[in-house]
Amino acid sequence: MGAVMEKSTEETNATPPDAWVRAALASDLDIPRPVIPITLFGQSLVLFRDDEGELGLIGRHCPHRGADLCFGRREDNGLRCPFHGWHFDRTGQCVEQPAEPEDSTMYKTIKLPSYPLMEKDGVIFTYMGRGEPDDDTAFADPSLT
Amino acid sequence: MITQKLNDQITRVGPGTSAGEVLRRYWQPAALVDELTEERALVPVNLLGERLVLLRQQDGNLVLKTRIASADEAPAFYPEPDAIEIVEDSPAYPVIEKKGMYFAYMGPGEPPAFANFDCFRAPDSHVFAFKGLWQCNWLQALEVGIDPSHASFLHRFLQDEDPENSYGRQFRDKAAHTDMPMTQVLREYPRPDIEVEETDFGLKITALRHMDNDLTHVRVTNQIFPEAICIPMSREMTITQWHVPIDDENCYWYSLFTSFAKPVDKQVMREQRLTEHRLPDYAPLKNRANDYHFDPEEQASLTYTGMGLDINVHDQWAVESMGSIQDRTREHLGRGDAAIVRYRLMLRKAIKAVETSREGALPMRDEATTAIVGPLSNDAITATGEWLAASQAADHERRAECPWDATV
Repeated sequence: MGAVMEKSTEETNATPPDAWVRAALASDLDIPRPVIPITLFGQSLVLFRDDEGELGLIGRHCPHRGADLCFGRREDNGLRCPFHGWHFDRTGQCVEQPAEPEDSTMYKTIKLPSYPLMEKDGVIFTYMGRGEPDDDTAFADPSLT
Repeated sequence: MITQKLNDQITRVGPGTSAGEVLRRYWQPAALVDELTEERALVPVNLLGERLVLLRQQDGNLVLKTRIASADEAPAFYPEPDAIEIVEDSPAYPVIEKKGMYFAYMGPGEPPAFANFDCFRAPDSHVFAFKGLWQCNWLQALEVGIDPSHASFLHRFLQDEDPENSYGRQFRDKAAHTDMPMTQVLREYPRPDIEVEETDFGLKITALRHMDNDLTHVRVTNQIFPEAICIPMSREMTITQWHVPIDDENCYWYSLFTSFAKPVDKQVMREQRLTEHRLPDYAPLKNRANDYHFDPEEQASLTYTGMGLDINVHDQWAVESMGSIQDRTREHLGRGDAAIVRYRLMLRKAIKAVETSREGALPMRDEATTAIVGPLSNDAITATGEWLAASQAADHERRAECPWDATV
């Protein structure tokens, strides 16, 4: 219980900086089902750890009809929407649509927004700025999020 | 994906809106008969964005009148009778009682006749009415009901219950003429072929699940224009369910549970549902504010959602979790959504008909409406090549055993 209700997050629609921003504490995911909602820069996202222990930060609403993936089934190394079983990996790529006909390849064209993540000193950071982060990418002032 | 403009057009319901004007051309469920009592002679009704009150006039007729409401009232606000102030010079919308429900007509001109559906034709002893609040737009609530593929996932049970304990519950019966629980059929065959056919009442939706040994499971559900569905609940009962807008962002489902052979055990049906809802506003006890009692352990071992065994809660979560009005500019419909696509075309056609004063083009608005019977709404398992005839035969068999006139 309580795994899904969002903790108080300051909602801001400001443009994300070209820097690593704080997404969560690593301890926030020290729960039996490591799946939590996060709102960053006005975007509703879901942060989770997959079966390989890797982190994913992807769009919160299923691209099919908008159901909330924070209640998704954490299985098969990703998140599965409970509405029709659409399955997403940690990059947000849809890898299975088990209610669609066997010959359908629609899933290949479906991808949720996703953001790179890194863990440092017990904090999970994400990069939502322009382009890709590199070794020189700075850490944003924590007050930004 | 559709445009924001189109999404607004097909979802918003206030006076003068496109979809709202279509809905106003049909009888709308306004309250349960249970709600109007000697102690509560004024029943608040929040319907199609209007703040109304149900009352019996001195001439004995039931009507809806406008009540005075402040702008910050909760959408499903249910004031006590002594706090209700009626706008005397407001229109009096006509109301009639049918099978435990009050229906109101809020549109122009003469209200249409009722079709002779099973839920209206069965005697009172065979029909039970109930309702519940969902905090979302009516259209997404309707769309989950015309989407046959979600049942294999959203309502998946990782273990099957004993179907003997299934009375009054959806999907707990054995699949027609087999010892297989319905939950097992849905789980093992998750990719139905879906056929959608336009009818004189709306849509007939056939979901075909091709099983082993050249057998096919045939499940027929229906869309009844503009905002109802008729689906099988068990071999004994069907559910006719309206998704009635309170305003743009809230709705009530109203269901008529209709039994063929035996009278409905209304006490059991009511008690089951009253343990899941509070009065007087029929708000469900599991809701967004308490995470629908989501239990990750249950999700891992027993149910697909982790939200208990009541399938109504699963549907409620699915439609409320989309947001108060689903953002259809970001949706990606698949082949499993064929009935949804077809329904939206029907609704757009009806919007166009109202806007161009061609109301004769609206479904179920002429004298022929009273001749509409059924609809066929059942499950059957049959040899794959014979599914259509077998589905009809199973329906006829059930109707023939029925003590009331259920002939089609």
